[in-house]
Amino acid sequence: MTTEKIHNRQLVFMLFMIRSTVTIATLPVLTTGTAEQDAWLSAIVSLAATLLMILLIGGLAVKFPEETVFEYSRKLLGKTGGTIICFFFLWIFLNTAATEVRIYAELLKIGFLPHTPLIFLISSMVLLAAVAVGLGVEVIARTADALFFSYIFFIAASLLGALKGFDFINLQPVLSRGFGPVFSSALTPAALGNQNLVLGVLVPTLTTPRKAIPSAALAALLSGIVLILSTITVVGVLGPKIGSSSLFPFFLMTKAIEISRFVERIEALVVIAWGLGIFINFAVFLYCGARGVSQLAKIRDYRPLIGPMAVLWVILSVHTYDDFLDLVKFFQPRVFFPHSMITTVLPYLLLWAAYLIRHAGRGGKKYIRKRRIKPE
Amino acid sequence: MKWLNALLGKRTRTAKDRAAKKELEEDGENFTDHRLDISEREAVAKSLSLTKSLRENLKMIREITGAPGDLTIREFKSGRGQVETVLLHLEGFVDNKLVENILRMLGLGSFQAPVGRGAGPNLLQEFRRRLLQSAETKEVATVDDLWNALTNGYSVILCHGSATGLACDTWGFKYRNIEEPSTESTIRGPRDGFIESFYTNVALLRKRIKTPNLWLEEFTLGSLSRTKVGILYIKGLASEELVQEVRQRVSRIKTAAILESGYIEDFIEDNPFSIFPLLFQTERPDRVTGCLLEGRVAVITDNTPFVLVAPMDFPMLLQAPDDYYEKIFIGSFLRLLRYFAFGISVFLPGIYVAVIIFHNELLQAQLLLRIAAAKEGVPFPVVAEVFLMEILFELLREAGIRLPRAIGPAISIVGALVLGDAAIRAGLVSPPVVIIVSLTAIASFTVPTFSFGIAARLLRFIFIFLGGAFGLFGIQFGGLLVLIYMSSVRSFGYPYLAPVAPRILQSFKDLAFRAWWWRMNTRPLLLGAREPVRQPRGQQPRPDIEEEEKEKTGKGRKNDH
Amino acid sequence: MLRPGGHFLKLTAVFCLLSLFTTGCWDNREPEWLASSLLLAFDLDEEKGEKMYKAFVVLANPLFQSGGESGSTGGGGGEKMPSWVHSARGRTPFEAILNLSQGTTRQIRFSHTQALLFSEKLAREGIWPVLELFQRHRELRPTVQTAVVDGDLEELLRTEFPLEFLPSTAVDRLLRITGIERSIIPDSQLLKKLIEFTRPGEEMILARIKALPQKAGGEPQGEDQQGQQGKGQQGKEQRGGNQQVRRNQQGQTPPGPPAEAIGAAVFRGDKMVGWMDGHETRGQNWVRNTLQRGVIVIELPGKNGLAAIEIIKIWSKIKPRINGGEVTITVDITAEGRLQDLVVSPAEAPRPDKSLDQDLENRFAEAIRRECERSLTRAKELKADIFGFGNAIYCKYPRLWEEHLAGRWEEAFSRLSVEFLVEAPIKRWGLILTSPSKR
Repeated sequence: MTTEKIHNRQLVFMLFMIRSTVTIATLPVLTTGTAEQDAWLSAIVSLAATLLMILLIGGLAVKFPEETVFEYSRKLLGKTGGTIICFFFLWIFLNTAATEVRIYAELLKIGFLPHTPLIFLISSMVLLAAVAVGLGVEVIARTADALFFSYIFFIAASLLGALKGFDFINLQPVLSRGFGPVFSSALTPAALGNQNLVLGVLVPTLTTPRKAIPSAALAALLSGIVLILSTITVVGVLGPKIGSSSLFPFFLMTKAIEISRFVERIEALVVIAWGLGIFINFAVFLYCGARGVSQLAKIRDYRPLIGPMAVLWVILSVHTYDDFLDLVKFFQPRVFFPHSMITTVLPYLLLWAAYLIRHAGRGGKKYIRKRRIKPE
Repeated sequence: MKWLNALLGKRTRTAKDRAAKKELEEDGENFTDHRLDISEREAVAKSLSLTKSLRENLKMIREITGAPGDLTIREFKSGRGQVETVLLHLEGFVDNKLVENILRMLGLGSFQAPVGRGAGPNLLQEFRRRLLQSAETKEVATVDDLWNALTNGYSVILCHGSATGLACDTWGFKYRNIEEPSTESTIRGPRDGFIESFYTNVALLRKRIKTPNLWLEEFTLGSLSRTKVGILYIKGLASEELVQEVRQRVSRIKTAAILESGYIEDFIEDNPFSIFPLLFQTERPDRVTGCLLEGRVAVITDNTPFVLVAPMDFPMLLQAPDDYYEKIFIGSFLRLLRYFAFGISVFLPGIYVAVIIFHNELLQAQLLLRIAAAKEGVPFPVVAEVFLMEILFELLREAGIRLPRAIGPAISIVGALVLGDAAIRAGLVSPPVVIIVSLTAIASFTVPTFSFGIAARLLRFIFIFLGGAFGLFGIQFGGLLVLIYMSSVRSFGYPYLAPVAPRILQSFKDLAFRAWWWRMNTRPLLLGAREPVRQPRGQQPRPDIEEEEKEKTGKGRKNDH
Repeated sequence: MLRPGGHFLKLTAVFCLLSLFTTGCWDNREPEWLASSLLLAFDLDEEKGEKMYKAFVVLANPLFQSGGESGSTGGGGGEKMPSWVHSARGRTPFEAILNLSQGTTRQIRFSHTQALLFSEKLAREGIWPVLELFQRHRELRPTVQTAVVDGDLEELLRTEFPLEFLPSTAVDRLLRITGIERSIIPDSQLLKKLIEFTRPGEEMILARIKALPQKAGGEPQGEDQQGQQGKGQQGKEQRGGNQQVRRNQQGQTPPGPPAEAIGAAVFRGDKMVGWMDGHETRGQNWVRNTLQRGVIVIELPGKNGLAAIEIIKIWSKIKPRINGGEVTITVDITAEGRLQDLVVSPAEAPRPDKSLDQDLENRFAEAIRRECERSLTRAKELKADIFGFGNAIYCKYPRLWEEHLAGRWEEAFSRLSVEFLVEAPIKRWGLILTSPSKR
């Protein structure tokens, strides 16, 4: 099981798809922020924040190239503290994945299949992810390899196709209300950087773990560029007001693609292409969750856990949010940003602190023991 | 189980075991017993050694084999007319001229031969010495050996007084000629194909790879069929683990008969539930040669022109030999076309169904109206319509293969004209569906590997249902499932989807596009890892290449002057 | 080491197969259950003193298509109409379009809707509810062509267009072609209109389709360009009003066009405030850089004839400027023309030289400038900033806009001073230099 190895390139692809699908699917910069025509600046800010997040998460992962975050957090913070933090991370894996499945299912339901039950859409996507996870992380990575270019192609094609209606005036005036809205809009996408938590689980499976940070940074950079480009295109095509009032701005933009009378109404294809990327997303999160649970419960193989976890996932996905308004509310900066801070950044700061204290000097061992009592 | 081991053991081993076998007690009474089952009979035959009495031996042979009519027994006296000798061979296996030759040599009393009682063994030695000039000989000690020799086209000489027989090669089985394989024809490229003869097939390959490092290992598989199976590889190029793995899997086979390489495929492939073929099969020596040169291993089976190659990856299925012979542009174009056609043949009917009943906004208004108009009055739902037409097409295809050649055109007329046209006229199917199905059919014929076409056909039906039930979402679901599955499959340890997943950019030069031969400097990464470099770089033709070379080599010469 | 788990896949396969049979097909519709809406039109109606939206839909008739294609399939398809116009009422636009199915035998799919029309009455009441529906609804999309109909909406939909089977295609093409060839209507894609509506300091302007009543044997009352021209400005500059109805020799009139696209409906907010004629609309296109092609007729220097100059390429930019606390607008327009016509007696044909070229260019530029000013005057009359001057100011001076102008732009716009700087080179004269004459 631990002999499964993925290439760093595959990590880049996987992280890229994880990062870009969700940002494209909702473009949270637009829907949850107030930056409007300056959304692309928020995208740049959020890219910087994501890079910081990668340093935070990946930096520690590289220090323990053989272990997952679930293992070393207990080493660093002691049994109780580590376990509590692990539960935080598990919650993120489950919750983020459930939310993303829900977003995709909602998109399908709103856009194409209004009568198909939500649970069916969700469970079929989860089933796919579960099959992939059952076959191992190598298979997920290879699938990512196979899907990467078609995914890029579809996104590039839809962006290029929409360029016909692009109007620069929509992006003006730049920074009319200062940096305030730009930063407030960047909160949610920056907080979404907690998706990089998968690094904590994936790094030990890498062929060259010490290059994890450059790989993750490359992925973040690529997905950041995609986010910036698609924000610019969406705002340029739809205008800031329509862009920020729509639920799926990218989807609305693809609806507005009209290359000729023959090539239009292609949003179904674009959504299917998202599906490819989002599947990788689900699969990686389910894998990380299953690995985490198995390591917490000290079960050698995570595979038997997949079934129950998938069921749990479906239930979470269906019942966490009553309707779409709940989803939107969840992504509001004032909800999502603190959520991400508490569940990711804070635990990692603690972990870092523990690590630094432990490695600060040989003589500090007693001190650490004292500190370990109250990890929270 | 001793007999089984002996049966499965290598030919060379039989010589070593001979001494041991001699000691086995004769158990002659049992083999006339009709109650003996096949495995018991086999075991008995195995244990029977030849005796010194010629009569006894002949009786034994007759009783074991049931004295078939094709077993020719020529009796004569040799050793100046004093020693009773017989020559046995099977009709059809031998070249009669060779047999005549042997007979003439033996019958002529012109040579000095031992005479009298106990002359048998010496006589055989003498025969052997003489016959060595003209034919391969070997000694047989048991009835089983003797029969194996006979079925391999040997003639066996038995002398009274000798407990061994002398088998000499008189192979003369009539095979069909080497001709172009009908399932894999090419425009450009060699026109020879494998036939049913094991050694001819090996020779076809050896003719192309003349290095002594082309190694052949033979096995005899099937307790009853005793089929010759060989694995062929280039020693030092194919990885040892791979060869070991193939050898082990092949030698592990224990079965009654191997009639075709498909049996072996079933026994040795990695995953029995794969609908995609995990071993590459072909009738073309040039394709096998290409694979061997990449470091793969070929499995040749007697009695079939189909040779298996392991490991296989997905892109091989869509590569035709022409691609490598034609200029790269047309080769690459055709390859791309084939990828596209493969996509069509798997997805098109499913996508059609999905688009028509779920996402008709994807069609242009005029097009949709046309299709809707054509669909008007057709009593079946779209899924049923497409499904029925696909089934009809499968029927036609199957019938076309099974029918005698002479009736073939008739069935195509009935199928295409009568059924298709009448169905449209009667309003049972709409013309667009007929177009879709025919397009799918045409596309599926472009797949160069027949066995792969079958996989595509099966998938097509699944996608029709998925598309019909859940639209493009269903197609996506099915497509992803197939993709996940395919990227998890391995053929002899090598990932099936390589070099796409895992992505090996270096191997992309021979994926959808083919690079020039002077560019293909490296072998496929996973397979040719033992010696990745195929040829020196920089062989691109350019006008000054000769001068450059002269300069390189001429430096020394200049100094001479 | 990583053998694909056979059991897992088997189970998956079984699950998939089972799910195929147990679950229904929730969203599929056989094509024969469907009718495609090709055009939607909205009118306002009243019922018991309550405002009602009246939706018209043009449905394509598949039976007609099959009739036209192969006689053997749909029996009697030949007698069917190519399309069917159907209408229903409701208190909201969506209720109205859903009520359409009361009378239809098939489920209506809106994804192929190509055009969206409004009646003048509805336009004056406010069209935002309909525009909102087009953003919200999953099948309707913002790429449709949209226009306001001047005249009887229903009659327009029911009349037959000589060159098209379907009125929807006719409206769609009419708008597109007129836009491309004459530029006497504004850009008519709905998305552009939505953006115009949402931008600060900009008002919506929709194309106008004039329905021409078809009287049996009578002459359709086309909007006479020439006449209007005369009224407008002394016929100094004239344009090719080439939509004249030609009578044939027998004195019978073949049916004229049932509609023409000319001019625009000007909105303030989502309510229409007035019409603009073709010239005024083209003036708007000049300013907003949306003009594609057109012709300007100018008088020759010697006042002895006319010259038609085709507009080939245009570029324009709105430049706001603050002059002593007051915002002024400069519009830079560069237009490239091509001489296409000289209507002058052969004897008096002018010699092609640089001075003539200069002269023509000046006149060309003057004509453009006048057109823009005319448009501006009309817009100020209607108090609707259809040029987006306000938006240009907002883009350049967002502070100023937020603090001083945003609340009172209507009034500020009517006092706004705008300067048009036109540069209009005539670079090519066609294939001949001058008209060949006997001399």
